[in-house]
Amino acid sequence: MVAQESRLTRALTAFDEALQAGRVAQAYLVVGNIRDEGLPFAEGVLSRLLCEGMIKPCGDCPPCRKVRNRTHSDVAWIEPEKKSRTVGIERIRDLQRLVYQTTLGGTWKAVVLVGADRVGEEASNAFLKTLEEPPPRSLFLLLTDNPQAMMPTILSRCQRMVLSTEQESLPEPWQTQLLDILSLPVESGLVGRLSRGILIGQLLDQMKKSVKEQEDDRAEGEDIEEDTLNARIESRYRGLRSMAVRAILFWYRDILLFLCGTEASRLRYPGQAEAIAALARGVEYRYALRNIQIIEGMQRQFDRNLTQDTVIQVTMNTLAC
Amino acid sequence: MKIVISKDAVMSGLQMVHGVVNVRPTLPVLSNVLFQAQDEKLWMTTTDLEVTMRCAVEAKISKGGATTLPARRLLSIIRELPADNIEIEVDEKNSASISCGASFFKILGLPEDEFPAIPKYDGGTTFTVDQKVLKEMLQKTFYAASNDETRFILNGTYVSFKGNKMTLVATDGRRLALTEHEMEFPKESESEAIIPTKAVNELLRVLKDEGTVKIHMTKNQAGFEVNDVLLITKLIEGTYPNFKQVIPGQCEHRIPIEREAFLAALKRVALLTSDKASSIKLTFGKNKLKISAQSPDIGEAHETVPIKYMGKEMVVAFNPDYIMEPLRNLMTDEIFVEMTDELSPGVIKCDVPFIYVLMPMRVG
Repeated sequence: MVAQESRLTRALTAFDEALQAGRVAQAYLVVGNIRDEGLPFAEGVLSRLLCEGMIKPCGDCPPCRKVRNRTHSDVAWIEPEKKSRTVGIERIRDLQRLVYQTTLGGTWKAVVLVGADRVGEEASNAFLKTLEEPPPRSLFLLLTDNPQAMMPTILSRCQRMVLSTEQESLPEPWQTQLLDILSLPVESGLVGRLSRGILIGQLLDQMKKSVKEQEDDRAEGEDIEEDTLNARIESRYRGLRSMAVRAILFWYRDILLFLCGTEASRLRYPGQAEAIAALARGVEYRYALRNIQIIEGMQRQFDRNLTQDTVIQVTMNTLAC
Repeated sequence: MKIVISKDAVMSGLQMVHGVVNVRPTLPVLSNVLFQAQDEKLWMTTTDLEVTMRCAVEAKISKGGATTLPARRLLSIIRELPADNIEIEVDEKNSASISCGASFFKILGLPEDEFPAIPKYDGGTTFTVDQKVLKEMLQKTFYAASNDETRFILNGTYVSFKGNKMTLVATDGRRLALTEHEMEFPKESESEAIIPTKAVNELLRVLKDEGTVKIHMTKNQAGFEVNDVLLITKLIEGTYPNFKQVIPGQCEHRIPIEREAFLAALKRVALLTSDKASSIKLTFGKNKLKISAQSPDIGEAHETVPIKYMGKEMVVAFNPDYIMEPLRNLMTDEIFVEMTDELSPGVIKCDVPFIYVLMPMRVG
């Protein structure tokens, strides 16, 4: 936690220096945990830009309070929405209106894209146009914990502000159970791979059931609508599922690394080195590389809201090991 | 807050301001109308953070105060109320009790302080114009503005006060409408702005045929004040394209045409255009104009309109909507079509300061 705070402080100090030198970039890619690092960084930056106090940020003036409450009229907060948890083109059009119009406060205007990796392809292209030539005194803050899922054309237009590179791991007991499934010796052929897919699907179902039970308990006594509760469950479950896909991705990356001669101690999952070695022996380098692309595609398919069983079965069907 | 108000008064106020409320607001409070009861008036304000609209209606105020209530739902309720006098009482939890005859409603609002502050326009310049003049000028130009979000600067109407003239221009890159009005103001008051189309649409609802409108222009926003109605809008940022360079200087042929007859003929022939064949062909011949359209999948139509023209035959094609829109929004009996050749832009003028430039389509 202390290290996290110091990284955040360092990043805000760097921004202060840029602001004083009049060299604020038009767009920052803020890489790190969105909730613990990205959002505090965005609030810190916006308070510094919009504060009306003598010592900025004062935290007390109306703009500082509005930034904190996310009600500032010159700031657009855009988050993934709907069941697909993506940012659609309508929201990008909303932000275009803010960017191309004058401000009410007469100072800066800003767009905070929370989960910038969740912007759909069509919306990304529309956003790119805005990012290419924004009017002066416009600032974009793109918060993400998964920058590799973003379009290179967007990444190339942003100044990178790395708050942390470590991505959250799947919580226990799910992580161990998932690694146990992945470590199981695969029976040869399609049937073997599909049976592993069924096990992963069952594990995801258990995760969802557990999330539902926890959220139902949490909601007891709260005056909460059923739709809101369901959205909360779905959102938390999707977060966990993304972590599970990332864990699978790291598993196949370890297989590739093993094939390249990397020492077991440098793998993501050194405790499963034997199982990884066993799987690596049965696969060629090019297929190991292709496996990684297939797992990356798995997350994209989930983002497109395809059914869970379909995505898992199609993925397992195409994997080489 | 406790007031008694007539149904007509509250309806007229809500109908005036509710158009600003966004269907998909970014903050919950933006769905609400701000009610402020003071000095025997009920002030109603709505905003989408881009356009803010405020108006006042007469009310009998027993206890002053302010709250915000869901605008569209409130309008639906008021519309259906049976009697004339409506009593609205709001408690400290922003719950509004609405009584009218035997009907009673209780609707939940949000606190006044959650509503965005009403923008202030300090400094800048103020111009006073007849409402009718501004309304007609807007009607003659606003339809030509673009709605293509990749060229956002064209998504509004350019307003300039320069050289003792108020000039309004709108263009989408394929056509341009310009209108001017002579007025006097000091040179230091000269200013310009691009007003977003949403604000123009709201303003057209506010403007009447009598009285004046005060136009406040500042660097960041424009305000339009008509009696007890105030509309404040953000502006589109950037430099408007140099529209003067696309207005043809001279033309070879200036052809007078009766507006209504021309428009009626265009409407009829345009019925035979389609998405695939969306052009209408104008053939200028000796004292007659042949309007024709042909769609391979549908069929063809043509109609002749008498004109005063003795030049060589000229065939030019236009998008039917683009040529009909200025004709619908002009009031004059006669218009002048200025042409140079088949590939040069056509110009529509009339006996008031109005210019409409339209790029032709290629004739197959």
